[in-house]
Amino acid sequence: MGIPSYFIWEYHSIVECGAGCRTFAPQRFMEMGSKRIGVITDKGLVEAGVVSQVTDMFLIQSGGPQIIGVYDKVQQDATMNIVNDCARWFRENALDGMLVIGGGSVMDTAKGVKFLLGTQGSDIRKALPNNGALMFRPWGKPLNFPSVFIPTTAGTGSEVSNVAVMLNEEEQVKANLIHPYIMGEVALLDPELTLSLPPKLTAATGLDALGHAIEGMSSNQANTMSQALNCRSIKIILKNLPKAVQNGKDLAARMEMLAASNMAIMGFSMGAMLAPGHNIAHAVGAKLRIPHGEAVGIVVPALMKHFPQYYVPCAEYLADAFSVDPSITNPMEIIALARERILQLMNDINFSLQFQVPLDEQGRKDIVLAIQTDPSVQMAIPEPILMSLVKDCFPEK
Amino acid sequence: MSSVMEYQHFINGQWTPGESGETMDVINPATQEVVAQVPKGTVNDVNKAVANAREAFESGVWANKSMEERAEILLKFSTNVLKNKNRLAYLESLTSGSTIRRTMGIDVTAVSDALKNAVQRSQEIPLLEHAMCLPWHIPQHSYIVREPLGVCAGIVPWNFPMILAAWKFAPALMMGNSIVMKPASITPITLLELANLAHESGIPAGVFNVVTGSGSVVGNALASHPEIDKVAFTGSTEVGRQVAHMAADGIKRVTLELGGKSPTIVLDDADLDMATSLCIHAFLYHTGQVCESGTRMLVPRKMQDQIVEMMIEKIKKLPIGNQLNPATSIGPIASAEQLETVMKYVDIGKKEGAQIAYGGNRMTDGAYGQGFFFEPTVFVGCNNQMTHVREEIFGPVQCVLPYDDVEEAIAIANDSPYGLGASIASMNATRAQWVAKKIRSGTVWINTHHMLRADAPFGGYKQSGYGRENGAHVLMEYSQVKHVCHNLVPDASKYRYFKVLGLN
Repeated sequence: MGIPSYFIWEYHSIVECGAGCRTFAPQRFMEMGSKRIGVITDKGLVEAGVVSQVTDMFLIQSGGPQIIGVYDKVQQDATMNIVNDCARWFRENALDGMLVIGGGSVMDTAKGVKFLLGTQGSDIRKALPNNGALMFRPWGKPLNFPSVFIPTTAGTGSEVSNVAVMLNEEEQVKANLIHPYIMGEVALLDPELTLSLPPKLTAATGLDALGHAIEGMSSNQANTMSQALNCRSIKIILKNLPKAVQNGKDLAARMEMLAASNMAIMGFSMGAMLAPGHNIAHAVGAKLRIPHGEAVGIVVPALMKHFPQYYVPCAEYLADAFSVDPSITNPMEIIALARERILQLMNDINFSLQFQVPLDEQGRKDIVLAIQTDPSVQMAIPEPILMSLVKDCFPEK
Repeated sequence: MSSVMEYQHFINGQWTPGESGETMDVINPATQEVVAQVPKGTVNDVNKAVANAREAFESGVWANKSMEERAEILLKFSTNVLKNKNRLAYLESLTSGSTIRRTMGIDVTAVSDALKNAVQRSQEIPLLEHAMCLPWHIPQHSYIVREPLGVCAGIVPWNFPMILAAWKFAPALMMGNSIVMKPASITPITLLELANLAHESGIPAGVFNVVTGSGSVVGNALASHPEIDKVAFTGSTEVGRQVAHMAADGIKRVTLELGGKSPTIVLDDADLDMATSLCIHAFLYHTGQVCESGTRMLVPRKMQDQIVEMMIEKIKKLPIGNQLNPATSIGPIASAEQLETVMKYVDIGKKEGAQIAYGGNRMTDGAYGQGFFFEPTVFVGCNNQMTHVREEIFGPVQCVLPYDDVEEAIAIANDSPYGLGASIASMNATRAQWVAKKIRSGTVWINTHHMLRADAPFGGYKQSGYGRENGAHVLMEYSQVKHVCHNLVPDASKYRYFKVLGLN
């Protein structure tokens, strides 16, 4: 184990779990002093009636904070134009509370908006020079904009993480903002709101959570607290993701998945300086507009196949998380068995091992370059490994 | 005005003729001239108004609006009241005998203020509350919402027809109720005008209704109507008691603002110019026809003569006359019946041994003879057991009661079946407030009287009634609370509370 490194455990969210826990949304805003609430979400969730499941609470529990408007222009990926537009909308309507209902794109958009509102900014591009801003203490200061995040996928866990990934649509690059106060002051994990999530999205978002746990576990900055969450969340996902995909109405599995995604993001964001799978997924996602969950789901097991040596230091944790036979101690063998278990899971949830976008030689080279120059890149993966990984992940054109 | 104004009931957003076709005359008490006619309401008229109010309430057209939406309409109503100030003030003075000086200066603005107060206070009262969640014991979300009562009835007297109505309809409407109001039979027209203005300001049809008629028919029908959820009454203690009895059968919410015999305590450290003006203001405001009138003035025995003398000198200078003359300070008594009552009590006072230091007679010279004018009257030589000192007269009659020490003054002040108001004249703030603390009444004024504020509660101790008007408190009187308890352990086998029956 060596000499232990310093680590900081910094979280600012109240997390409430349980079927129906969205009932607390009006109360939490009241406690924070908010009266005029703006909702950030997307059209699909409005049309599916998920948003009204939450906003109706404000009408029923009348006399408290009020929903002044619903901003539903968020599309796949948190695009910067939308972040700027939404921040402007918040200001125009003199809103003093932010209710975020959605998946990763919605929550990342909201985090960008919250950052602009809390820093008197109007253009997220300027706030993220070269598409990235690390704003740890002391640069990351309280944003003083009360928010309640309600995830509708399980998921990114973005509701409580200090990371926001936004798409610079002009440069086709995903930009990162790391800031200790951009997450929701309150996260309500209500499985009733994920019951209608279709199997394919349930699978992709569940694999995103698994990706967080594995990347958090394999990072050289993982710490003893983060590993507890990584390890446990992997076990929960292996057990519950197939249930949630096969029977979307399985409330218990849905709840477990929401909790696991929340735990996985904690393990990830409190101990993952290195996240090569996310680096690749961001580049692929920005270049080809592939949803993040799907990208992570395909890339992480591919990385374990093509770059297993990276996982050797965490083999002991992988063995625990994937319940590998304790008699097996060879790290490479453990990594292979863990990967096999992931492939089995992907099979159980009908998830392809390849992207649906065929690439030719030039296309593969472009992707490799995008990976190498992605703003989130923290480690150089040897180019031949990247080439073989990309070739494996995309069908031949 | 030579022509007689003709009014109808205001029901479901429109002028509605009375079922019987019979009318009642409304007169100017200064001249006894008939100035208006209103329908003589029947039980069926009341039924119709209540049915419309109930339908409006159940439809949610008003009750389901947000507080902000209702506030916006009430503020528009408030503005429209001010825009109609001249007309409303004139009609109010014409029919109630209130001086035009007062209705222009105070009454119309007070109606507007009652609406504004309801809006403003609604932003301060707890509309949504929460009990503690016990996450490790019985996790549940317990919230408390404030909801309207339903259909309210407001029965108002003839002394301040608009203000006392506004103190009822403003909070009732703010909290989402529908209301059916009955004005006094002799002063019905300004409330009809207000209901129409409310409708023009955007209050939906059926939410605000007015039925005119007698107390014994319309008032009784409202107080006992099964579809009425709450009765708010301002008037005499005797009638208030009857209203409470009638409402009791239906377990209606009731607020009563009733009679008074308020004391005015002059302490020996008072400024006598202030004290004497205060005692006059206390009993002559609106010719003494005010429930909180200060009609028992308690003075240090050794200062009695000086105070009475100063007071009489000031009273002599007050112009008494037609209320529509802006120079008039004191107008007529509102009705022949009330004039009769005043004269009866003055006779009783004299018979029981009190002496008249000033006034005591009906005024009949010249134009006075056409109306119900009575001299401001000051009794001395009174004790607190005399009939005219104990009972409410509702006229320009002051009773002077000497005392020897402050404790005795407080004891006399509190020795009354009433407890509506009290005032203290003193130049020592601490001493005055100690006395105020010991007075058993709903309002105590120091160096003033009659100072009712839209943003402070008004109501009685003892037989002066219960419930409060104005302030934030009145909004509670027109709403009720609902506790919703939402168990967050949906798995019956894990829910600890069911263990009590052995269910798990």
